[in-house]
Amino acid sequence: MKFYETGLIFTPQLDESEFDNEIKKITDLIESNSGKIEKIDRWGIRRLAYEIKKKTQGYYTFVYYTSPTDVPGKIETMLRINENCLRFMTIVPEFKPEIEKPERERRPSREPASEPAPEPIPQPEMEEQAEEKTEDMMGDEEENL
Amino acid sequence: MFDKKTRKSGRFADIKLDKIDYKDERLLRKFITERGKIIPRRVTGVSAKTQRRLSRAIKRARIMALLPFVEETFK
Repeated sequence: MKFYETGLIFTPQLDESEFDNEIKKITDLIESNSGKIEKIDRWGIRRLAYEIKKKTQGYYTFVYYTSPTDVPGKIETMLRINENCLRFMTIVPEFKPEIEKPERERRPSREPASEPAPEPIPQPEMEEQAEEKTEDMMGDEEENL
Repeated sequence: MFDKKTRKSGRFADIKLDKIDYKDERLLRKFITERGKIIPRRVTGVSAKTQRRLSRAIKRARIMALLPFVEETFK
């Protein structure tokens, strides 16, 4: 079992349910080969840095999963014949992304943390305002001089 | 010019490079020229290891059309 990350670019002409369907095909393949989906990161439609198959945009999705080592090859054979898939790439990432489990652990701690969080936000504004005021005052002084 | 061995200078001085990910376009953009070429290590001043990680990430980003092989305006 190894941790993989597969990036996918689908043609932007599909609608949302068709994107769901395409992604489900991948996740089903992983799960049917005793792999485990860790995270699915959907970026949605994004501009491509260069044209692929005459398309200037693509629907980006990244799937993170742990699976036996034969699964990426199976995904490749499937995607190669899939006309909706403009580009795909599987890598072994340098580091794991923030996966749901640690997020769930953090969430309870975030909720109390979110209460004091709004406080520091007005503070810099206050400081800025204060700075502006002092600048104004200095400006006034200069004018007075 | 640059003090070759020690100094990281100018726009490369305070870039954080603990996590290099090919999906981090904003970070990788800093290490390519406006034409899309990877900026050499003698200019960026990063370690050999970091430069390898950067160039691998940039090349991956190019494959996934996140970064250009050659910027459109220069083609």
